[in-house]
Amino acid sequence: MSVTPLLAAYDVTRRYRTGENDVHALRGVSLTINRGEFVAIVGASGSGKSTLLHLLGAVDTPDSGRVVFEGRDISTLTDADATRLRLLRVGLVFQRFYLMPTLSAVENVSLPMAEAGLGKTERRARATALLSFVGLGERTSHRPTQLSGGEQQRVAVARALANQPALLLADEPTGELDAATGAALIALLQQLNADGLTCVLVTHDAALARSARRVITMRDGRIVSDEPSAEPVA
Amino acid sequence: MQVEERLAYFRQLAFILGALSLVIGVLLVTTLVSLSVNERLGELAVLRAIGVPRSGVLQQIMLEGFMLGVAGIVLGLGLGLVTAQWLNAILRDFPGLPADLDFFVWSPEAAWKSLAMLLIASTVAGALPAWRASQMRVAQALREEAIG
Repeated sequence: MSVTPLLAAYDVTRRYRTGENDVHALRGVSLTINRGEFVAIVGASGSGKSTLLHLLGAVDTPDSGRVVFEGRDISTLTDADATRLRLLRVGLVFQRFYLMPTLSAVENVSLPMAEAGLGKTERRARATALLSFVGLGERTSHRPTQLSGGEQQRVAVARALANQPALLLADEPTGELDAATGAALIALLQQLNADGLTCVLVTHDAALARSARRVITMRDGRIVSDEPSAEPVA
Repeated sequence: MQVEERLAYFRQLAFILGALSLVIGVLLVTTLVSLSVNERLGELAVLRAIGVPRSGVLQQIMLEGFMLGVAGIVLGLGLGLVTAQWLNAILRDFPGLPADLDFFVWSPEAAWKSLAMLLIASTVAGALPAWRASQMRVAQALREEAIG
């Protein structure tokens, strides 16, 4: 019996302009990701890994090819439908945490729930529980400026989990963290994956990628290898 | 008749100065909100990426323009009243004028009209940067932010 993948890309290409340059970021990339997988996409800067992540998360659309998420072609969605999909089904974490500076940790985590239409009491209860889960139960009322980089990234992870997504996408999530804090964050992502959440992580750090169960290597807009991690590191 | 003509002249002058202030205020609010948007492009792109719709970004930034307008009204009204009292005192000292003459008469109707006009103007002033921010290409903004 074949398993329907959670996410699949079929021969996707993406080209964009930066200044005078025409960048061919993806040159026919195909992959499938099943539910419960923990995938790291690695490659040098400019290899197309972040562009691929944007396509997988319905942040961007391919020039050609298809991206299918939960059986639905998401490469032709309207902006409103793509926004709704990201809100409800995809959690996104970025290198720079980009929390709202005027909001407390619990309010930042509540933000996607408010957009999804959850009531205030439920939002607060769920946001508090999520912050406790990521180890910030005592710092729910702190503003981002009162939190360390690692703590801010944990708030960002909690925010990404707010609407119980099927997929967590993280773009260089440890890029602005020191080694110890980065390792703690990776352990958190591994824990989420062990609980059943599908995680896709983009990193240029091959060592960091070993924490995943599957490593996809990209070069010049193409996948050059796709194999299980030799030794998933806890 | 001569007094009426002179008053009409002052009213025209006040209208021109008021209109000029309004235009400068609108430009100032547009500039301030545009600067704020440019500084926070990454933050706004991430808001869009995590599922906040275009309308949410639009509302948030238009609210900023509105709040700038409210702050301007509070400050402007306070400073305006103090300045009016001060000018009144100077003008009353002119020889030959009645001691109880008021050059600046407080008119609640005019104040409400000005208030409404300023609030509308400041909201409209924030509309252009708000529209631009709401129309941003999320992936492109994230890419540019990552490059730094």
